[in-house]
Amino acid sequence: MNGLRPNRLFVRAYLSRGARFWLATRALITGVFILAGTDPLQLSTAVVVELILLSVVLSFVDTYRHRERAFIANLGIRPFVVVVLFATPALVGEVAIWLGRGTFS
Amino acid sequence: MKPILIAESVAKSFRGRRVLSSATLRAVPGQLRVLFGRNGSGKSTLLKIAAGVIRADGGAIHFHGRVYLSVRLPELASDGLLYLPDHDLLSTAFTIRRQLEMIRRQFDGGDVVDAANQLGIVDHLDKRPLELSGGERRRAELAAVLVRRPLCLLADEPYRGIAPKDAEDLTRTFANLAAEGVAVVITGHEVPTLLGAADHISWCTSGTTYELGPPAVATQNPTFRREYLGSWSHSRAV
Repeated sequence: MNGLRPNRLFVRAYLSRGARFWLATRALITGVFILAGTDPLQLSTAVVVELILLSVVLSFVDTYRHRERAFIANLGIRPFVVVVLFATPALVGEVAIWLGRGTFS
Repeated sequence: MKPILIAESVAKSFRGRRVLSSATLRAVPGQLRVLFGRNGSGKSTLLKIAAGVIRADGGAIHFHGRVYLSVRLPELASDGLLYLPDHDLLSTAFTIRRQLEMIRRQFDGGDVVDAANQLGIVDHLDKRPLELSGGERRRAELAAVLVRRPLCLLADEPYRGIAPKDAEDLTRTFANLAAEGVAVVITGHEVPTLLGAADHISWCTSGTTYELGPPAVATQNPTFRREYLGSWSHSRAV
């Protein structure tokens, strides 16, 4: 057996953490772009990828801060699964922004 | 009874310093086994290797009928192992209730409130671990063990920073788990408490381990008395 699928309670908790860190990272980048006089909704693909990576890294650092590695491993959940949970809200959010930009422009 | 977990002939070095050369750890269903060893003797390293937390340089892990040269904790945990590290198990981000509930749902485990009642932490279920004392945190971790119902429990220094009364309750819980058929291995330096509860003593020293047998036999071992028990063994006339 190669680890277990996480239960819904775990999925909700870690998706929510991923979403919080993506929102924080997005707000920060938006502020920087506004200060620079650039449209924060017109980010290049490279910047969007970096933004997603940054929010995943911050979410992951937060699991270290809360000393959750042993807890997660004892649930039979591999780190890769946690990374996917952290990345999902960022990916969904960026796709939503991209679609919204196409719709409203 | 046959061991459910064997970490066999384990070797491990850190930056060229050999900590374990050929150490073996066994966990047997229905037995509470204690691994003694002086600080730096490698007992925590051996437990971490047996739990898949760190990789060994040599040796093999046998768990639940499978043999691994390299294995990670999530794989062993999904097969029935629970590892209590020498730091807090539970996250500081969520309440105790939420974490116990995650464990219950993940493994179709025991009742959360029942477990909390058994460990006397039912009033603390909606608190986060940082709001609890060291003893209460250990109790919450044991509640997690009761909810999880593992086949094998490895607990690294579970008595750290707790009062004697909490240590007594912890020991009773470990002994009950073993009586229910769980294979329990714990490390620690609380000699009287652990000798009183253990079924079997192992000793980790000089990079290897010695199976000393039941406490009554172990405490008669002259080398163990001289090099580990020290003056305690003389004062108790074991």
